[in-house]
Amino acid sequence: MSNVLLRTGLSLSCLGVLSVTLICGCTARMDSDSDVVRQITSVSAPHPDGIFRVPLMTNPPDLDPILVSDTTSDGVASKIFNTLLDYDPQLQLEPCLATAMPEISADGTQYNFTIREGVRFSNGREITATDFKYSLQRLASVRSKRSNLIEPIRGASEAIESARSSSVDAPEISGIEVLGERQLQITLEKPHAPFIYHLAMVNTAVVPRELVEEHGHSFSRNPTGTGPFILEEWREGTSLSLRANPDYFEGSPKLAAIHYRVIPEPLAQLEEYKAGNFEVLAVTQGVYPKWSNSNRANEVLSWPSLVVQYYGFNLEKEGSPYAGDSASARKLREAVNLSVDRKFLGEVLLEGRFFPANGILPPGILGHNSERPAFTLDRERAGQLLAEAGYPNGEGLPSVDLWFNTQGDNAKIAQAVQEDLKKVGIPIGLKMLDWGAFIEATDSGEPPFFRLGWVADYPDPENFLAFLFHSKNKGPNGNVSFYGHPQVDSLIDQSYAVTDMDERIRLLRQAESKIVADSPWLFLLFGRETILKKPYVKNFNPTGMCDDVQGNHVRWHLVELGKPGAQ
Amino acid sequence: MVSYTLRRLLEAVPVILLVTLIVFLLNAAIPGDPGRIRLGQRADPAAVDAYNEARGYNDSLPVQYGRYLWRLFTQFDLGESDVKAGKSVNEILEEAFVVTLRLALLSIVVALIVGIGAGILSAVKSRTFIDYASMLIAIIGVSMPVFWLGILMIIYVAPVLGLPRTGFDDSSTYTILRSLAMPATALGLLSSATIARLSRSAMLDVLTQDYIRTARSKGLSEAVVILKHGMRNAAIPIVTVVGNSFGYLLVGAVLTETVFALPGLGREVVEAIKTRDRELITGGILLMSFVFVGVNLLVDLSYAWFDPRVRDDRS
Repeated sequence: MSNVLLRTGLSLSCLGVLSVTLICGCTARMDSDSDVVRQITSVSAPHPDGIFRVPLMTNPPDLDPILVSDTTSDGVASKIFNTLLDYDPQLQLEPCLATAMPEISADGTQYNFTIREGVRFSNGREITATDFKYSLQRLASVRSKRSNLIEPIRGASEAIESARSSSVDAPEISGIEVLGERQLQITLEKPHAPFIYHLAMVNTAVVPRELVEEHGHSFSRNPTGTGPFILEEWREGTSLSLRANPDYFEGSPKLAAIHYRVIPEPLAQLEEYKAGNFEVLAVTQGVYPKWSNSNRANEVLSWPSLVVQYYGFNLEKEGSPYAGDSASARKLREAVNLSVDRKFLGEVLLEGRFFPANGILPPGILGHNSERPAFTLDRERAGQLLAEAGYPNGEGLPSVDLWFNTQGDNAKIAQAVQEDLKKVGIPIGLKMLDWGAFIEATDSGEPPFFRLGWVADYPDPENFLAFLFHSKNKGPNGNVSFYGHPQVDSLIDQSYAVTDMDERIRLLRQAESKIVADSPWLFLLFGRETILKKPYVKNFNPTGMCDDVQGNHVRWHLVELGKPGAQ
Repeated sequence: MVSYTLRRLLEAVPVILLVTLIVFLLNAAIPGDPGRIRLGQRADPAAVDAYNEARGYNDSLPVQYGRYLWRLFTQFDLGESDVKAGKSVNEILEEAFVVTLRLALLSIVVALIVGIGAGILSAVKSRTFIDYASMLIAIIGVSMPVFWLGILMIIYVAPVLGLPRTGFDDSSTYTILRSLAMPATALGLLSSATIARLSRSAMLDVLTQDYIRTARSKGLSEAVVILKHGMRNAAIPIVTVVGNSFGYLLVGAVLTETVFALPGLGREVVEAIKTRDRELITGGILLMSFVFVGVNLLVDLSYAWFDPRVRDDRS
């Protein structure tokens, strides 16, 4: 009996302790919520040795330029390598390893570059035009992930084709010619105005042939370039250190080194940042509103990114009421576009890190139409369109599945969209897959309705419109909505031959307007990148091409660490 | 004993072969083209096909399987990673396994010290406040998710003790111990809860046996009675649990490795599955099954050391 009493007593005591703890915890939480300005303790002291410390979610898979296809690798590789051209802070192209912007022939097919004198690889050898020819030709090899970047060059398609059945690392491409030690000429098969942007992508960076051949496939583990930093140590899955290149052609970097640490757990990253062990941090759920309204608001840095989030309709999916070019299908797609509260998604659900889209091209992309109003919620009009399509109040409208992948906020956005559509009588189911399975399914046209996003490779409208909507790119090439319209194809095709930028923009805007009118997507959100940055970090000026803390196209040789407390 | 060991080793061969076959079939069944994932969303479909052709992924499954086994048994070569260009699977797994092995060893030390200590204390002080308190803590320990305990330790424990919150520094034994102190404690505390509960019940059984009374009546000190006569006889069930726990720690510390940013085996294999790194998935799971079979074998063999009657039965 006494044991029973003792156990009961102990259990009650424990329950009591737990309850008190929970109540105290909740009270403390409520108190802190009611504060106008939160107090966040965050150590703010730069590394004494001038080391810029960055957290990474994953280990960069590859640092060989021809293999870079993910943002993590891109961010690291772009500090080791340089390209012929680069972007200024306004995202205008400017010369990098070229002495000036190229001279382009009147017909738009020939690009003549002069290579800078005195630029050296970090092994000490000076770069020449031959290095660029070799580096560009490597993109044709079977191992290359971005052979499409050189496809417009004369003879490249044949080289790519021949490389597929051989093990040649850098097949000869007739359209790339070395005219002198520092003279490079690139001839295109036909005019292709966006080609110039390819020459600012890290995939086209110059590499030293002798080291590529020495290391073979391991060059990706031993990258050597001309960039402001040199790979010092790479402990895969743990850390990666870059040290400053004292001979960098734009001047020795002000930082002594950049040290990356791989920490997959965002909460652990945040604790390290607060402890003063990182200079920057990618913001995840919950951090942005909390820090924006705190004594550390000055550490929040946000900028519009060149990204669009959308839910695509598969226009060739048999059995889907949204597929096809019929008036009914078009009205249904339009009704879906009018049924979603994008403001809620961007401002509430995603904490202000996204905002309603007004089309395909986000702000920052040439040709973005700032005059077109953003899509808004109009349930009444959506209801009318449903009725006109033959489904009054959604009666008889079959449910289709919305497919999305497991990453990030996808699930909760999908649930919110599902709820919104339900309110006007549009039924959808949800289907979640991991990225590998998801991308295979969308490539093959399996899902009738799917989530995807597009991040700009370069700030040109062609990068969005051609990949995602040209009928020649249906399927795995990018157009997974299987959209096709001769007028849109024709406008995009015409734009390739036009060198006058205003005229190109006019043509591509026309194409965008036509696509928006056809509603092949549920146009959702444009994005903002948001990071935390310690106040003493100077000259870290991100552009729309920056992927969170990676600082792509930031002038890294100018970034420096000031004194603690510096703003 | 030798023949028993050999027999167990031979029994392991078909298990390993079966594992390779199952992993191969699963790899083929999982949707997601390895070439597509490797070359990226924007890759040319023809390039994807060429990649798959070059890596042999377009061959029939029996051909791929035969090639893999041939390489495995003739050169012990697990292939090259699909995702980490220029790195062999052997190299990747070796680096990851060393980290996990160190973590598992330290965790098991923590689990043994805390678990057996608390178990013995509970048994000896049975039905006292100490007993109830230990067992309550053990219940909390068993039910607490490791990632939550890990985060709490990162926030509240690491700053107080001046330990690194995350990461792995293997530049010296001291830095290794510092890097692993927090994750090993988090992981070890969870295992210690199970060990504590089991040790308590095993010890309670043993302490009522006649030979314990005899030992006490001989005038032996309580410490000798408990540790020498009691503990050794209570050891077999504990060893079974410790062995299994060790096996799980070696292959299943994914969450701990993720929270504390340790580049261990579990995290590596999960990453490989996400990126469809076929060679690394197969190699990683193969290594895990080797480890599991090996640990189980060691546990079985250890019975004989603790209780010679087991050895006699088997020989």
